[in-house]
Amino acid sequence: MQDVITLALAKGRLAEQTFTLLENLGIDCSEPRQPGRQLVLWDRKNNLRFILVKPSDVPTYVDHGVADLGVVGKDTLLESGRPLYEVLDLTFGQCKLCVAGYAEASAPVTRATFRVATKYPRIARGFYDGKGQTIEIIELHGSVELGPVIGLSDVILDIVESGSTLRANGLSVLEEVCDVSARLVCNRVSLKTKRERIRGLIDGLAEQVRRMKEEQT
Amino acid sequence: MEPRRLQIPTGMQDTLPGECARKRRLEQEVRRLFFLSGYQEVETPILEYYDALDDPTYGYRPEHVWKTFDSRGRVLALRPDSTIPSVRLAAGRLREEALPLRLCYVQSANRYVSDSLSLLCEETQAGVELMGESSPMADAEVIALAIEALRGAGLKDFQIELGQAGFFDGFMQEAGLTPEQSAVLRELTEQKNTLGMQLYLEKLDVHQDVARRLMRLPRLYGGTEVLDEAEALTAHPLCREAIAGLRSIIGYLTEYGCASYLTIDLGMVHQANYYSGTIFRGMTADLGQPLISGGRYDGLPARFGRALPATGFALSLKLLLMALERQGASFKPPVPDELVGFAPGCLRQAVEYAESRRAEGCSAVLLYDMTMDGMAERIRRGQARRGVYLTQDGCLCYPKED
Repeated sequence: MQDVITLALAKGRLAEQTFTLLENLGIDCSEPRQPGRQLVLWDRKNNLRFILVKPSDVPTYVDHGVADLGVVGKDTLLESGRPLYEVLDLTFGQCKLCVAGYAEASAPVTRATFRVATKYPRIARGFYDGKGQTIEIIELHGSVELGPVIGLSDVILDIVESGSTLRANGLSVLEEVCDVSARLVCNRVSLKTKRERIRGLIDGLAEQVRRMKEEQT
Repeated sequence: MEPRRLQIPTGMQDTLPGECARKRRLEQEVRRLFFLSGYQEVETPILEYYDALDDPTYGYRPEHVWKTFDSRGRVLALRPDSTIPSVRLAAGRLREEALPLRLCYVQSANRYVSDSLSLLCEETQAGVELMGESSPMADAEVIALAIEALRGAGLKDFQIELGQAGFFDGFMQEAGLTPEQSAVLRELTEQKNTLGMQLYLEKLDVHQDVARRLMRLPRLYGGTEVLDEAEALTAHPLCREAIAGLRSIIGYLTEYGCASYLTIDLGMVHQANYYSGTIFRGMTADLGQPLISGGRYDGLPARFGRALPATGFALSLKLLLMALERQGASFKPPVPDELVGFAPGCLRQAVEYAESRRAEGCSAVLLYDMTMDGMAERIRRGQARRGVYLTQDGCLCYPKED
């Protein structure tokens, strides 16, 4: 019998777009597309199991080997700091990790420290350590833009897609940290122990991504 | 704040009876295997001078090493593995020993795993170091021993993946990259991050052909066909030598009957980069991470003042136990063979009986102030395999012997 392959996906847009690619490869995604309350869903014919989890949990499941593959944004992947194989850029879910704040240097919130509000404390720490700048990190879990607006922080470090939320709050991008898109990640052991099947999936998805790009141009 | 009397420090662990019994059995088996293969066991202190570890090429990040100070303010480190201490011995107190030197150990290693990653900070590792022997046959011996250790422990469906540190170095040299640039690519290769590699190579502005060849690196894993593919990719003497070396090791391991366990990953790089030749790790689909890590580290002993070729491996017994459990091994605490109850005034008979059983290798536990019925009840509840009740008139067995 074929090995079972488990794929961890974050509910939402990334999952939908991944299903489309997988369906082009002949994988039946009807169950995970209509999950109801189920958390574990199957394509029995292909012995493929889907688990739908919170985005930041995708690297965790894959690192522990309970999921062989996962689809996750590069931002979440960097923040997790887990040793995974990052095998493919799926190219959708594109945005940028940026530092944003008031373009005109307004009075700092406090003169003593430079405060960064973010959902990505690990990335922020790495970014500012790299620049040799001392900062205080304020970890938030949503509406990070409020930070400078309400005087909680000097800047924010967050993902920026269109920039409309920033503009609506009078903020602008001050620095770009890195590009973000959806990545296919693989457990370090699964890649080897379930080699044939996983290589087949990666190659198939890579081909789909290539076609998708061609169609766009 | 509540005093932490019932807790243990984060990352540490207790080993409870069931697991501990299983662990001891594994330790005994692996010790015996190493001993029968001519490896001599050593113990090294749990603390070393940090100086011995403080070299960026070793791959120990300072924040991952547990440190403390002695009374004179010198920095001490909890050993993060047993390879460096073994090398320290070989270059120091075992300097006059005849070569080759075969050392083994079963002892703890401590690494501080920062942040929220809930990895264990302490684990028992069993490993061997074979020093003073540069032949590929020595690599094969050590790899075969690693396979035998896993096989002997009853692990199913595992594989040993071979890599070659020299191959990576040669590949980088051929591409004309500086050590700094190859360090970046080493990390990207380790993550099999083809996109990151592509972006980095675009930035470096290397020739297209070179970039295309470098991009093959993360995909050079699989069966022995990978070696043919790699041979077609590069003519660098280091790479040629690396591939030839791997081929001869695979040949020797075939003689050991181990060929079926082997796979190749030429993109493998170890975290510690004192490795120089053939490197390997052991893995099973039942565990998300490798449980054996090893390889040749010819350059390391010279840093301690004694140039010696060397190879070895470390097996994480904790990860092995986890893999065995996932494969269905049971960790039930061992049940005593016999309960020994006795009527008032018969303690002497009971003690003599229990000792005679123990001399035969059966475990016997005394029961105090217990009736025959009370003993029978305990055995029905599974607290021992059988029971013996001693009275002035003789002994009764439960369950009754046929």
